[in-house]
Amino acid sequence: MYNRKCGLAAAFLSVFLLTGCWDQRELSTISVVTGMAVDKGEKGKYILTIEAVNAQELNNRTASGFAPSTVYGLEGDSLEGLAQKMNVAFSRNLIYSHMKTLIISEKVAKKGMLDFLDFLERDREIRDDFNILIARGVKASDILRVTYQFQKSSPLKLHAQLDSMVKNWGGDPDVRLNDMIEALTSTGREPVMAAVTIKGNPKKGKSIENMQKVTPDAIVTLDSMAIFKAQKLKGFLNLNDTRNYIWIEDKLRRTSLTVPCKKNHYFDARVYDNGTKVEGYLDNGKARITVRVRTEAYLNGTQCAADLVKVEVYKKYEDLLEKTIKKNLLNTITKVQKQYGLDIFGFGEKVRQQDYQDYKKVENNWEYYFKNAEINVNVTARLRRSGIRTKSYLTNIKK
Amino acid sequence: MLKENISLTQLEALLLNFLLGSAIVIGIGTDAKNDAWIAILIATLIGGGTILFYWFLMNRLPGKTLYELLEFCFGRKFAILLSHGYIVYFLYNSGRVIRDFGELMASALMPNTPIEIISLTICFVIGYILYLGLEVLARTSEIFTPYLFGFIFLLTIFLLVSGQIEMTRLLPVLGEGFKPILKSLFPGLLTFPFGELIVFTVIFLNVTDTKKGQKASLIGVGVASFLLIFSSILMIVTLGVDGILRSNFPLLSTAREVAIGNFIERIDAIVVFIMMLGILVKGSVFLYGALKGLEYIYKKPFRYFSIPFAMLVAFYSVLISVNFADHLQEGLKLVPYFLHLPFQFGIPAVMLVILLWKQRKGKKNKTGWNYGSNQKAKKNPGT
Repeated sequence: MYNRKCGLAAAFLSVFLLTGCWDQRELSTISVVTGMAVDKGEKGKYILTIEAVNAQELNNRTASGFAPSTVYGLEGDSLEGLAQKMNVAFSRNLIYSHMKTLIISEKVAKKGMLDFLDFLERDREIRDDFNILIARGVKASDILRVTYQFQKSSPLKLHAQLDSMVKNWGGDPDVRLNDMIEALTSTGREPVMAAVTIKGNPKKGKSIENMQKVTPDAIVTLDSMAIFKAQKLKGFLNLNDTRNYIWIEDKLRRTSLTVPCKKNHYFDARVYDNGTKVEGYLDNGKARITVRVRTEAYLNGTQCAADLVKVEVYKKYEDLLEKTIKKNLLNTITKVQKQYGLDIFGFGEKVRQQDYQDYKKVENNWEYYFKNAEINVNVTARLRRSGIRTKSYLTNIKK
Repeated sequence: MLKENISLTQLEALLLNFLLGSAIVIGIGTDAKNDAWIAILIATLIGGGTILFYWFLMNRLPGKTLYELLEFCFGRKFAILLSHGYIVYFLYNSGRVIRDFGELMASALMPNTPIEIISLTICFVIGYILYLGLEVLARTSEIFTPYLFGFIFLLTIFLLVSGQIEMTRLLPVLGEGFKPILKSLFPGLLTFPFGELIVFTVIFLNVTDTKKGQKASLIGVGVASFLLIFSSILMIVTLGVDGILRSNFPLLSTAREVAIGNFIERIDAIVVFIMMLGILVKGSVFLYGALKGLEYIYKKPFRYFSIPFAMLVAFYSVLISVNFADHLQEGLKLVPYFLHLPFQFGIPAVMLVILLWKQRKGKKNKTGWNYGSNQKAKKNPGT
């Protein structure tokens, strides 16, 4: 009898104690926000546009052909205020913790108005797992509106797209909020972000019909990489340079490199493993940076007639591969050194870690040292195998 | 007043959770930047010394608590005055610890819930545990400690797998030399968390075997320090120094970084468990220290005081400071100098001197050797 009373009391108490107190939210009263877009405002500082998805439409079984999400924008001076004010248009409580993509317009970035990152870092709901992108040449809010057949909502599509991109080719610096802030607060590194744009007509992109076409009227594409000086956008690097950038950063997962083997003939090396180490130190007022790359690849296509049973041929191709990688990486570094003079590679950080005493003296003037740094790239490339063929059929074509 | 006994493992578990307690919540040694782990390593040695010092003190009069020692040294009247000081000090510390937890819950998990409710709920649990006695507290921490290890292990694995760890963040080692480390050692690491072990002088007598007890408490301090160093390194390599300095609760921020394949993420709860356990034990031990003092002064079993005083702690944990910055600043700038140092080292050191002096006299009186030498001194005053 006593036990029963105790049990009842415990059940009764837990009703009050296990509900999350004042912070409880019912599933039926919330909407999940998947993406945010920040544009420059006319009256206020920013225009914040958010997309809240309709979960029913995202599920193929329950979808009934309505719009997958609702996009709405508000103008004001701070993101936090706007994010909480969104109920001027939305009926449910908005949940920001599942946000997948943050899109910042080129204009905002060019003005260096990234102060809102503080709110994103501070807020307890928002996490460090969303992509940060620059909308190049288009309004950030338009990118949220473009529909897509598979994920339907644009932020979800971009999140998956960039993830696949990183896994297959590289080309996305894969910047998260923490990386961004770490770069902003460090003296030896400047921030970067991936930039996306819309191919096609943004106006037509916001309709459901856009999802019904084989060639959509508008599609969001990965365009380039934006580079910053502190909070200010300074320029863009193309996708090949972006890949070289993540190659140096040791973030490369897999990629395909097309290497010339004869004039206007190429072979493809599928890089599946890569390790990069950067060593740096200051020597007589000059920064010396050594980038050591160790790459493993397999040959996955050649346009030259090559006898790929022989070790010498492998050797030759490895040399070509090494040379190409070295040339590419050096090109990108010199380009950034000459054109922008911004240490996006974090060489300063490496020098700081490896040669702290010297670095401390030049810390505030690192940009100058980066511009004049002597860069050395060492590449060791290994071609391990050649797909499921040995000799290319090109070696015995009967003419 | 029943004598309660705790086993050596239980003492270790208590020490471990006590030291992790709020230290793991707010992060320690951050003054030393990315050498925080070295600072904690050095502090460990000092911490081991500290606990041996307290043991040495307690071994002068075996079976007596801190309060009875005070009486022995200063006489009952003055001891009651000092005991009140210690009681308030322990209650205050308990309140601070609960406040740490309240702030954690309020800023990271449940922002809309009043902190009063959070404090009251956890203090009610603490009061109930202490009402049941020290043995229950010891058993509670003994039961939950394996989970603590499990969760820290899990957290490490998750962080490793999600690729957030960059060992180079530990570089440069000792870039600024030993100066920042010394700065973070004194009085920071010395008094918090290691000096706070003073409250264990109330608990030591519950361990039956003092020899083994000393060894066990050294092990407890060692394991706790290992975990503190480990978590410190974990935080540095995941967040970077700047990230830690910007976080109110670095370990929580670290756990938020975990994301494995859109599947294992949002594991904050693991870290909150670690913190909650530490806070529960630390708050309880401090409250127990205060309750034993009340028992000594008013000669009533401490159980009578447990619930009311737990509620008092809840109350004061809210009133202690107006906001979080105030709470932290008070804890870093004022408390170490005005409370920790005198209560943790000042009074015990004075006590040690008096104890040694009194006991020397006592011993000599017994053998009679002292008496003779005194007479000798009186006999030839001029030479």
